[in-house]
Amino acid sequence: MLYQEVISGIIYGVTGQLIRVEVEMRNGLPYFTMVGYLSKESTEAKERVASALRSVGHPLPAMKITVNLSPANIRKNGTAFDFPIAVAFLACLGKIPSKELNRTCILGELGLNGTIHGVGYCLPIVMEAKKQGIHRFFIAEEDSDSVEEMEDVEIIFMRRLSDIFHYFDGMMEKSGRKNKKWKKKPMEEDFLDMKGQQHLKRAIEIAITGRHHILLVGSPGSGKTMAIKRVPSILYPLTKQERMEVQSIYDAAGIVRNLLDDRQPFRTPHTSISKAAFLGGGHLPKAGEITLAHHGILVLDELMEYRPECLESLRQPLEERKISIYRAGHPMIFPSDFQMIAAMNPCPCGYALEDGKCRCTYHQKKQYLKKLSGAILDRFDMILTVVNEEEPSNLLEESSKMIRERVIQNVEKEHQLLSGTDYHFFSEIRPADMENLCPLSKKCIEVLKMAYRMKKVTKRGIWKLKKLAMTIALMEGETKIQEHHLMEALSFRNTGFISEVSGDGR
Amino acid sequence: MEDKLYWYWFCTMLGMNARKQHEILNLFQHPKELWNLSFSVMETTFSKTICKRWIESKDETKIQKQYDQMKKEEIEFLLSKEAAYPQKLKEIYDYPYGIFQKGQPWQEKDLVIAIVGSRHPDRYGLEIARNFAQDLAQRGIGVVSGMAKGIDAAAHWGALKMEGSTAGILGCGIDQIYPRDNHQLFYEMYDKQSVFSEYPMNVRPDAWRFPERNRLISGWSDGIVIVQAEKRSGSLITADCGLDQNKEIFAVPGPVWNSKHAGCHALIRQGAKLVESVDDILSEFPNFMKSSENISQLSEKCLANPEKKVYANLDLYPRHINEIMTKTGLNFQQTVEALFHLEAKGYIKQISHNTYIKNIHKR
Repeated sequence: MLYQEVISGIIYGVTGQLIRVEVEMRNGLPYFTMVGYLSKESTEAKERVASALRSVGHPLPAMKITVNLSPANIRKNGTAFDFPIAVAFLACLGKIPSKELNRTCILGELGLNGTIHGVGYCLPIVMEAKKQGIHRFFIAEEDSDSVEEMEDVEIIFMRRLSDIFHYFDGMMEKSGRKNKKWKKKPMEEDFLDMKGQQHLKRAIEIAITGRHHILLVGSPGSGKTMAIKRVPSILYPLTKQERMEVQSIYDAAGIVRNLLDDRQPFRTPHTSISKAAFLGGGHLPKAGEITLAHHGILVLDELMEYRPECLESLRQPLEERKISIYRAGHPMIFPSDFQMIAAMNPCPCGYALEDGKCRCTYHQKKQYLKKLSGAILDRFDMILTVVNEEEPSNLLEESSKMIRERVIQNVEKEHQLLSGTDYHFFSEIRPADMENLCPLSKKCIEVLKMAYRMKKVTKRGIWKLKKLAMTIALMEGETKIQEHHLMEALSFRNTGFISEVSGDGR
Repeated sequence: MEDKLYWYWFCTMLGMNARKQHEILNLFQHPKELWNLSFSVMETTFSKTICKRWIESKDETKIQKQYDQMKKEEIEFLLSKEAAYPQKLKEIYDYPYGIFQKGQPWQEKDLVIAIVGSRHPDRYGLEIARNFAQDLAQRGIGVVSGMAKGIDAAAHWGALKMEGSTAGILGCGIDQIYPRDNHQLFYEMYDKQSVFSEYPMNVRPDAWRFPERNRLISGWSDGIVIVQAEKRSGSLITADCGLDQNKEIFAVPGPVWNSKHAGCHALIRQGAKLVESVDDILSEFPNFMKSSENISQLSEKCLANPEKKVYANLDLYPRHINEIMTKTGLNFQQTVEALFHLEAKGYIKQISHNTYIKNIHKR
């Protein structure tokens, strides 16, 4: 009996899962079977492997052959098994040293002529394998883009099945491929085109700098969507660590993304999105929009048009920065550390904030705003009302480039300020650390008391107000909160807009 | 059958309007006579529909049941000869013989002013209506209006706030809450003030009843203030009724560019008195006490510079923080700071987040 085992992998959720590929050959009537909870494309490996082996001059022997993919209770998807199966055969036949294959992970799809094709989702598997102590990888050259920045591991890119012989003979040619360069495309949208709405622009900059969740409530055509579209042009870049994480998630989800792309993910799911597509999940668990927005921005334009279950399900990820879901009895944890930017109209007609323009009845408005639970509203640090401007200011507009440079600088300062803690942004600060990280002067406490008397802020809201004021202070180049920072922060926190819109508080 | 039940039957169950009722009671002394009429006389004197209703409604148990039901809902049926009936109403030629009342009894006032206007006003109209109503109520003047959305509701709220005396006159059944949006106002009115209607329970708010109702609003009052009326507005019907009934008509002007005030401007052109403050109203009633209070605008002298600039740029039309910033030419921080202080001192009012108007209630 001949037996060989090699390691390969599949995507499970957003991470890789290592799979043992076992091949057994014994005498008997010629027969080839594959087992191990396989998908259609995995069973078809049989034909591809047979042809590819023939092409390198080692056709499958006329023996009884069994291939098993283990663990056998996980459904195997994808075509990355062709290459490991073929390698296992070659080892069985003694064409390559089987001892060498012990701690090697092999990923690739085979062509009938023996070429090795990429599978597009190597990075999560490589990252997982690295964690488990595997240091050598045989990977198709086509997949080199996504894994070339991996450190401390030996990755051998192969173009043809015959390369494996060359590798063990020590005759492997160094592939002369150069690292692929990623060219940054200039942003099409620029804040330069946005006239007026100073308040809104300021709010967006603050939100980005402090990574505060922001909700824009405003009349149609007041510039909400316009501002949101320009957000990517002022975002700070991802760090290398973040970039790898994001790339791994995108690879797992099968979405093309360049490894060198350091822009933050910017996801704008359509309003009709289902809960499974939003949170992740499905029969074969896949990352949802909130996970794809990890380390980036999730935009929910026309917030009220989303399904209520989608909105409600945002609670956990917003709180814990990850989401855990159960699928077929397996718990899965998807990372989802995103910043939420949402926009909505205040009432069905959209003009409730404009003087005397709205003709919606009380009940229509109530019905419309019903979806917006207090729990969701509470997650937004900033709630902003935007109305149409009759005569925009003739102030000189800033270009996105200028704003972006300022944001990058301020974010760096923010990281420095918070370097001793486990926070990165002011918005993450928990109430317990508030006293240490943002102390208030006596004058500021006076302002807060006044605001409290004027019913502009609740006890609970003070915490958010402080976080916001910290970000504003930082942007002004100060480390302590001043009174005017608090006042400005107050202008970005409108928690009572529901009663304003529906006219409860006469 | 009780005397009042005859009146109840006469006023509500024969489907006649007030004018027709007056015609009939010119022939008879009391509804009881109509009740006791023989069918043959009835047939010769009245139209077929009235005859038919006359036959169908002559059911004592049914009348008693309806009346009891009404009492259970805490609705009063007031006859014009009773003391609780609003006395001013009796001066119009087609006053209703009976009127329904829900809530507290009406306290007679020497002077009653009606405040009416658009159902879709802007902030300016709302503030004026509420402010006038507050002022009037504070001086012991009754305020009547129609419980509709917009100006009417603002007038009632204003008077309610000052705990003055205010009455709402409905164009639908006395137990109906129409428009639904005003339910809160209705409950407050039941609780503290009075709501009247010519129509019994379960009468739907049909469009044709409202002009009929308007004659009661104008009839009840000594003067009618139209706060904000568009070119074709129900408030103008009230004004017309008021003219017929020889009442004073007042109109509050608005900006000339705003078509929402066109109705008021037309009234002024025809001779309605232009009012800027409650004093302008009171000067038409020399018998009534006068006072020198005015809509006081706070003196701007004691304000610091950025605050002064911001205050000068505000009025009763809501301004968003953006607009204020542009108009004053201040930077964002200065504007926010000035607004915060002004609001804390009560000079201005934040009507919705980041949207400000001048506070004219401050004295």
